[in-house]
Amino acid sequence: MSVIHAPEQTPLDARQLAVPVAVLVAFAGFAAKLWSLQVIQSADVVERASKTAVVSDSRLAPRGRIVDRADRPIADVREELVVVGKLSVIKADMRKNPERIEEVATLLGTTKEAILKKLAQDQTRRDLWTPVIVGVPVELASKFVEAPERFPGFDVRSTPMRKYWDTTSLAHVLGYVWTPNDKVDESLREQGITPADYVGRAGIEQQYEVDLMGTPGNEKFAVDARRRPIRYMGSDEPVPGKKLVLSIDLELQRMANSLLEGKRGAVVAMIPSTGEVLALASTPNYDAKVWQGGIGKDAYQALLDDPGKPLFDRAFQASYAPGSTFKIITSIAALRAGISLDHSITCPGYLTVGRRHMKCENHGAGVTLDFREALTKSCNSYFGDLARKAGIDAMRQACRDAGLGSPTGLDVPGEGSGFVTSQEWLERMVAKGRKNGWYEGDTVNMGIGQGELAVSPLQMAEVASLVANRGVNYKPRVVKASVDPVTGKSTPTEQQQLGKVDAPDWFWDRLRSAMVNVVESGTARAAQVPGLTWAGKTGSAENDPRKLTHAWFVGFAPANDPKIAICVLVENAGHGGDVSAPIAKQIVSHYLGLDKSANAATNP
Amino acid sequence: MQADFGTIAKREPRRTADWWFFGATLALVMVGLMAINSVDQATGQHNAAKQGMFAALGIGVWFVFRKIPLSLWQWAANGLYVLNLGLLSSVLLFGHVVKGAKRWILVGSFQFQPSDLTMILVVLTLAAFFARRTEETGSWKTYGLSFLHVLPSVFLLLLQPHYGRAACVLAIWLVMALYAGVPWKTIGASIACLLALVGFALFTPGLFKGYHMDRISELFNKVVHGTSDTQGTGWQAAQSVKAISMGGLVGTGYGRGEQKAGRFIPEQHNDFVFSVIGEELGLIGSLLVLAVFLTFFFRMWYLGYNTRDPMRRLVTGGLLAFLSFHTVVNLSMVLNIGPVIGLWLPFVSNGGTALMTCMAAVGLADQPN
Repeated sequence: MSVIHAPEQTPLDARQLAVPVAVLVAFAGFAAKLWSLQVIQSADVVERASKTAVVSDSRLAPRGRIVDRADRPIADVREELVVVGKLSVIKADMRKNPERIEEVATLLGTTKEAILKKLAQDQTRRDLWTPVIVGVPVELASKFVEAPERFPGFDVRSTPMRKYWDTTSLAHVLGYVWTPNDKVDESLREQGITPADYVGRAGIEQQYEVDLMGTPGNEKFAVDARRRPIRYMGSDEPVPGKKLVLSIDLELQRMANSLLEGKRGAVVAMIPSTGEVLALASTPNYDAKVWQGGIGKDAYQALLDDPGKPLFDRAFQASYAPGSTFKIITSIAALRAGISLDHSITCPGYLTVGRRHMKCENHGAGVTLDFREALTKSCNSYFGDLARKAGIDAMRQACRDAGLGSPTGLDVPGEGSGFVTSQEWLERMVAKGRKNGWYEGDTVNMGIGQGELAVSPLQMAEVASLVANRGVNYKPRVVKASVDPVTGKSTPTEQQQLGKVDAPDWFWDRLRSAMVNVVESGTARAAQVPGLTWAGKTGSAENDPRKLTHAWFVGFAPANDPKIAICVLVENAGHGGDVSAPIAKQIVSHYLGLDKSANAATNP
Repeated sequence: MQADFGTIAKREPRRTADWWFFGATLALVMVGLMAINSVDQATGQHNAAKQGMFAALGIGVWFVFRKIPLSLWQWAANGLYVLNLGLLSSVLLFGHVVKGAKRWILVGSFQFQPSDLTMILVVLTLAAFFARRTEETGSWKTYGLSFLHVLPSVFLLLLQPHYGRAACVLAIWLVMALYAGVPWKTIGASIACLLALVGFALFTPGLFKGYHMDRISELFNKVVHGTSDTQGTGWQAAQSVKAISMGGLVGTGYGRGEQKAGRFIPEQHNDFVFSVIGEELGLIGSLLVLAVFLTFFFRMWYLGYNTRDPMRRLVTGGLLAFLSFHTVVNLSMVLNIGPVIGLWLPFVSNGGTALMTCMAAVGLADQPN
């Protein structure tokens, strides 16, 4: 098959040279690219590569401890045993021994699906140990440790978890700790914080997350393309979170809880001069143990369905009509409106407002009372009249100055604001079809703490503080200080002013003396403590005609050098003087050491 | 461009193999085995041993193909043509799908990629076709018929889909047409038509598989915008150049590639095998390997040039087109200047059928006179 007249020599023309030239050009390009990669860029790439391809396996930092003001432990950290799994190993073993994972699931009291789902949540952790179940008992954990060959891909680690010493008396205030949900995750990231595996989900655990969380440790591994660890690169030890010192006096807190036992109510006790909260109790409460290990749906629903609303904190989330305790605010409003409070009235047992009569049954009819007597006997006519004279604007202003109608700024999330009317609110309601505008009768009603008005026990404790401090009060806080676990440096939480009322000294003297009289000879005689002169005001707020009134008591002690301000509320329990004043009495006398005075006297 | 380098093209009848050619071949096979062995160290697989076995077998293949005279293939051309189409159809019928494409047939535990063999069969049948028509190679009829000759293969390859291979067949056809004496302007016009066709296909939705589209748009971004999606499709290629870059001038040393050890490049022993060489042997090693390739291609070209037999010239030219197209496209991919198209690096990439095909090509190109 040869061509007869083919030339001896094939001409070396373009046809022959096309392919070799194309190959040469391409190879020249490759050589240039190799030069650029391996000579020019090489150093940079090597440097960058040394920084990438390292993953960190975070080690939970022990959460900060929480203690009360006397250093009594409230929340601690204990090492919990955690069964961990490595998905890649488990998956490989499942192919050979499919029954093994079932065995593990039975042992742990869960299902194979649940285990795999948990492990597969984060695909980047296929080759890292990932928690399967937290808080397993030692006997169970030891099975995994003693016979590792029986459970390939499973191991036991320990991790620092929250432990509460008292799970009931401070449940609302402390909150709880659990894995962050999306919302929590997002809000923490907005603050520039990478959430730990467990974060505070309510209460001060949530509020002080940044202080409590500490810095997680990291174990660093160089990884390959499939994120399989190939080399250990060292670790940073976790730094424990800061210790929180609460202003709460745990003994007082427990006492408040036990005094409220069986009732629906709240006790707030605070140091008026600083805003430090000594006790913040609400009943019915619940056992915070339900949160440990994640609350079950049924348990949560049961708490929600409980008619006593145990999840609801009555001390700072709830709001009630203040009743006669509000007469303190009415007094302030009147003074600010230029009323001298020197006058007396003769109360016929009612106050005429327009064509209506407002009842006053707190004392005998036809009695003549001055300011002191009126407060002592809680005369509705006197204070209704004061409110009317002061006018609604002055009344609202006094509320704002004292810190009512908006959250006080307590350092526990979820505080309620209470309710004080405003002109804008009224206009909105009229626009929505409220029949009447605002009448004098409404102002008079407000003057005795009824009507469209609601306050929380915490807010009323602030009102007591305001009087105790003679015109100023401070934002309440349950955390007194945070202590750095490494340096031991204590950082006190900031004291911030809440409200301010400018009034002359004679006014505060007169108001205090009237409130002392309330305890000495008035509606709060049940609050008397031998050897103590202290000030108080009762309230019995109507709310439901079919039920008893809400029983209020606010006060501060000692009257001339206040060390404690207190507010007690018991829902639908009757007269404040009968129900709440005795509770306040016990707490105040205990705090001031007067209930032990008999013992103290015998001790050297 | 006519010149006479008479001395380099001295025709002497010879019985022995072209030792430069065969030496370059063996050198490339050795480089491949070493590179695969190095990857094995990181992955714990045993590909090098298997590939070594294929290399030994490959020498047998080389020997056989060297001994079978081309006239026999020429005689059997029609049968080979049918065999080729049969193989390609059988993949579509019985093949199993790997990463969205049907390219493999399982024979026992042995994976067989018929499209590797197709390349040889296309070259042989097309050479036979052109050789039959030496007197009228310049005619439009010959040219048109030659296109119809390769069209079924191209079509079947597109169905797999294996666009790289289809393009390779077209490249072989163009080069062989060139060698056969088809006028330049015809070839130029064909290239223009093909490019227009590809362009049309690219903008017809649904014609290309998603991953190919991704790779093409990735290339487009790279070329037009200078950006690269280092997490998505471009990841493999980005990792590849990173590994090569880290090799620097002299490399990390054989077996000591960090990126290789990190298994950052999936399937590194296959299409991306050159990145191991780049990382471990550095610029010097890479250029040496390129030099061996150039030696190989030059000798192959010379063997085709240095023959009077049109069949031989056509076969050698077609095989040269086949292997050089593969090499250039593969290296462009590994160096991240071309699209990620699954064409292996001749002699070096892991793969039994690939190596056998290459060894058969060497045997065919270097027949005794």
